[in-house]
Amino acid sequence: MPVIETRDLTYRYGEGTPFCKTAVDHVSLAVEQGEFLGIIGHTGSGKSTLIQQFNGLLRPTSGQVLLNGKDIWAEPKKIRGVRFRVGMVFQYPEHQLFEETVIRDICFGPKNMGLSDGEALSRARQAARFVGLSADLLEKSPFELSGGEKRRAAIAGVIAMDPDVLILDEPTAGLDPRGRDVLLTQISDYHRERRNTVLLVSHSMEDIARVADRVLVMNDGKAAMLDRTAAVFARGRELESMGLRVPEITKILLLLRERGYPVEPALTVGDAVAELLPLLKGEGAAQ
Amino acid sequence: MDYMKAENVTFAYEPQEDEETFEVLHGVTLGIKKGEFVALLGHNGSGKSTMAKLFNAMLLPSGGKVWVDGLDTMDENLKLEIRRRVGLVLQNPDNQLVASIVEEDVAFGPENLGVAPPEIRKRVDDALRAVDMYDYRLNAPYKLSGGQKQRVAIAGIIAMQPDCIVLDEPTAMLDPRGRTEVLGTIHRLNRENGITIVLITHYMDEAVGADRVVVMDDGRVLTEGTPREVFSQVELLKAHQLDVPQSTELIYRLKAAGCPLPDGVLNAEECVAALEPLLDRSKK
Repeated sequence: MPVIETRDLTYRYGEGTPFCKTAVDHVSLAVEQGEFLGIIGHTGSGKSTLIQQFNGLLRPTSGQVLLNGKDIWAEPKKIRGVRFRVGMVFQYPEHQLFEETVIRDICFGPKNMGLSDGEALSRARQAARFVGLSADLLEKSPFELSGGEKRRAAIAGVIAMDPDVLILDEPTAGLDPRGRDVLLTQISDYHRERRNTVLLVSHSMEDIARVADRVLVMNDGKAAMLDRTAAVFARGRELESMGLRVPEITKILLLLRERGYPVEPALTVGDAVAELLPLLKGEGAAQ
Repeated sequence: MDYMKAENVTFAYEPQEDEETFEVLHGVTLGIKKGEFVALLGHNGSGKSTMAKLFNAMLLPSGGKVWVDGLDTMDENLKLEIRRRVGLVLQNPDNQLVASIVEEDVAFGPENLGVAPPEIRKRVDDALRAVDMYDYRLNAPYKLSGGQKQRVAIAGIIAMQPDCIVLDEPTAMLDPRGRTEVLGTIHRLNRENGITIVLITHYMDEAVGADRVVVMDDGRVLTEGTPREVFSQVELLKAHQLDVPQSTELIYRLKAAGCPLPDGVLNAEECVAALEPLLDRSKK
């Protein structure tokens, strides 16, 4: 059974006013338990409106969101519980840190769920470990941390609630290449260890190519593609027409393929080397 | 002759309470020529943004000198003259737009400089045309996309008719389309209006289009040169945990595996051109 499913999901802003705009337009899709789904689309394509309906922050204009097979709005009073099970890390989450110490900030979510202090603390410690925050940082004020550390502390606050589904909206925006690399590795490790579902929204095609099992492409409020990552990025020209790109490395192999060389579009430099070396060395050229 | 020059510049932020002084630049010497397009690369904390602020006298060097068009930034009386010459564009467009209508926002700078109203009208129109936002002149900034907002912020700088624009990660918050728009605008201003550009970025593909790339690491200049020269030094950059374009890395790794390929490949097209002859040869 899919963990999240949408049926004809539609969201309109400003319904009944002259400014009415359909942001999400009859989207039906299923996210499987345990998968790592990348979500791409240009600004205004409906990505954020879509994911905010996954945890009940926005209520659909029409259609349904199902969490583990149940309509999340079947009992509106229980929507708070949905937000604990579908954890959302917003863009620039470090702007939301507010507690006196890092560890207390991470504990905020679990305590809100009604957990005891001891349980919240143990969850917070574990979450801090997942995002690679060392123990000596936990007693500091969040404002003493570096930008990258603050970002990780904020993500830990959501992970500490142990959600079934973790949604991250542009978690690497504004980080430098090293910070991006570290954070992506930590998210991948978390996903592998916990085997829960992770949804990652990003403008960086390279990031998506590196970590996602499948990719959802949003365009003009519709789910334009939902497929294995390699299959999505193989449709480079279509993506470009939607204001998106493919990773540079994928583009190289797509260009070679257009010129008649027998190569598959690779997602990482390592894959591309493996793809090209046999051809360059003359082996496999007979095919 | 250099239009902007940093000579053996050190910079330390004021220590807070009992902390020790924290020096972020340890003797940087760097010249920027008039009309040049320079990309500044480096990790967060490498001192890139500090350099940007030193060039328009937002920050003053703790040691050494910074000159802009022959003016010493330490001279308090010259501050306005320097800011008029060097405009600064920051990462988040929402922090830079002040008015509720696009053209009023662009007029903010020249108004502050005391430019006469008819001249302001002309400058605002010209600036908005230069960034391709003229049709949006009566719109509200908050309704624009990120790329459009950033172009309005750039127009606000252009309306002050600066010689140079320093941009600190102007595309970090934009989607691929917004990035393309903003980069296209910056390149056109450089090419057609002769405006000197210093572009601070984390994106290697943005650096590839510059005349010169300066790589900063830990408060020093690690290496500089044309994009081809800089990105040929894959080992040095990797040793400092810096990225290279994926095209460059692919060729580098294939070369390491024994394929006879050229150095300094910078983009997908060049990469394909380099690979094709070799692929054809091994096919036969």
